[in-house]
Amino acid sequence: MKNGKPGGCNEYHDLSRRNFLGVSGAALAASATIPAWLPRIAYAREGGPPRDVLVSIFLRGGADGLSLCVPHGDPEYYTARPLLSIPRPDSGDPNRAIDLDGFFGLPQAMSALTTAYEDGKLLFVHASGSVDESRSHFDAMHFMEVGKARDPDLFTGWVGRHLISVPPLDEQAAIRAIGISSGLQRHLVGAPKSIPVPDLDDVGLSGRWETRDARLESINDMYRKAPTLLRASAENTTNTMALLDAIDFTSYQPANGAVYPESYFGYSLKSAAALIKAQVGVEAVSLDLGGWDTHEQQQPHTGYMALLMQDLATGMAAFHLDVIGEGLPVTLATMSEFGRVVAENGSEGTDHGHGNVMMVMGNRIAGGQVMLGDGGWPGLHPDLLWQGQDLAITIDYRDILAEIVQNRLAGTDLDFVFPDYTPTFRGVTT
Amino acid sequence: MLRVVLSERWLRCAKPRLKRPTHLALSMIRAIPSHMFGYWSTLYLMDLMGQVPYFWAPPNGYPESASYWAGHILPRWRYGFSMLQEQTEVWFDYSPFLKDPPEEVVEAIDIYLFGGYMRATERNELLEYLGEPPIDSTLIIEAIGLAIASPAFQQY
Repeated sequence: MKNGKPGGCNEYHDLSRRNFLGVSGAALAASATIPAWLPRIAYAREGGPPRDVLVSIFLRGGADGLSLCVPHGDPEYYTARPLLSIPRPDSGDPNRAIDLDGFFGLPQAMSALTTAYEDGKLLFVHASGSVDESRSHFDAMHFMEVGKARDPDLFTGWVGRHLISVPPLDEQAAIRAIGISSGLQRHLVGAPKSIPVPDLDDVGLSGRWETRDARLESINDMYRKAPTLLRASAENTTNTMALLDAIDFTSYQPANGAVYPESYFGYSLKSAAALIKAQVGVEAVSLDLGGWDTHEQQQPHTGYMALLMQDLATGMAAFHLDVIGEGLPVTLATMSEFGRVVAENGSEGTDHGHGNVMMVMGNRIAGGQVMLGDGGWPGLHPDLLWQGQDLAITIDYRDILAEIVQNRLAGTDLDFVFPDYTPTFRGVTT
Repeated sequence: MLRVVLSERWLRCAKPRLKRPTHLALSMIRAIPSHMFGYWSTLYLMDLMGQVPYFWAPPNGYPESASYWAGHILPRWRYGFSMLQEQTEVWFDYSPFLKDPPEEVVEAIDIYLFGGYMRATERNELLEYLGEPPIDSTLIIEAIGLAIASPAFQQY
């Protein structure tokens, strides 16, 4: 996480520093000529199973969903946030929200996402999240990523269990899941053939380039006689290194004029796009974007959080042009461990809250809308808030993810992926 | 009961365990004559391996199981090479290893890193890597890095 901010709480700083120890025919036709950045990888055969690659983006720190997708139609929003609210679309203020549907809007910092939204590929799911009551980053992230709250025996992640429960997209795939991170994200834990890689373009051994292959060969020779667990890990790592080494991420040219932001997140998302287009059998890619723990000086208009939202939005917008726009079978989903308190605090920030917003993007996603639970917008009047201070959750995040798992990732065992939970499908997928 | 449990025969039956990153990092620094005049680069490399001491939030601690750590092996391989060949705040004294022929180099690695119990697998691999004399000192340092990346040193 390269977006740390001094204003976050102590627990979040601790977690951030730990870095977290997981095609369509048209596109195939377009890719008939193998690009230069992909010198040794063959494109997959046409007519594979209708499964999407999952790209998950975890907004670590507890992103403020009321700034990401602004409920400008709720007057209580402006009462609770005299300084931090995003002005109404009709206000004439330069920082005014960009209207989405007459009730919700995007902040100016997220304006890059309007195209994906209007294109019907981007869905917002508001008043959603994990119904667990925790306000601890550690607990809330853990519970969300394992897919069940307060179960000390559940160690694997929901993506990890999904990948265990389905056959690989490509039997020959060297790698099925990659966490673009220095440690495997919890939601990928348990996934077969999964590995964390902080930089997809730098996966070799450190030290002299001239002896790199010889040293790797020696290491592999030694690990062939190692215990099973280490041997398997060594084989997996070596295969992944060879595979990633064959892709020239640096020279990758995004399609449709997409421009990723010049940030670690932007570079990671661009690398993810290159990896997906390489069609090497990767089924899940996970990214983190940290720094959302905005207890003080949140600055959603032009300052700190605005820049963070801009990084997120321009990255996702580029991904929309580059990958979704190419018709590729990919579903991207964002989530955060919790939202933030509705009322701003005395430090021009917001504290740990509850309900939040998720974003889902893909060619088979019911985009172009802000989805709400059965009762509609729960409201921000103090009488309607969860525990008197937070946006209530009307859609459990597992409803969204379970529908994606079953309808877009060909998952067949939701009981295994989300134990002891019966999801309600909300019409996220088409 | 303690006598039985702690008897040499009993202890020999214990399966080797995978060192956690902090253990791995410090065991290398302790095994090779060195002087540590700072710690940030070591901490950074430990972070890449997934464990910085005291940075796992309570109430539990860093996982103890090999299955948790084994999948993240690349930074563990890189650790030794980075510490030995990149600019860090640890100065290593390689003089005990700068020998010729290769058998003596490997013997020194055995004594310092494995306490004289290096397995034939590692020994043969290091000898093969060092090749025929005369041996370049850079190659010797890389052989030490290989020994640190070996499954035998990664376990205890």
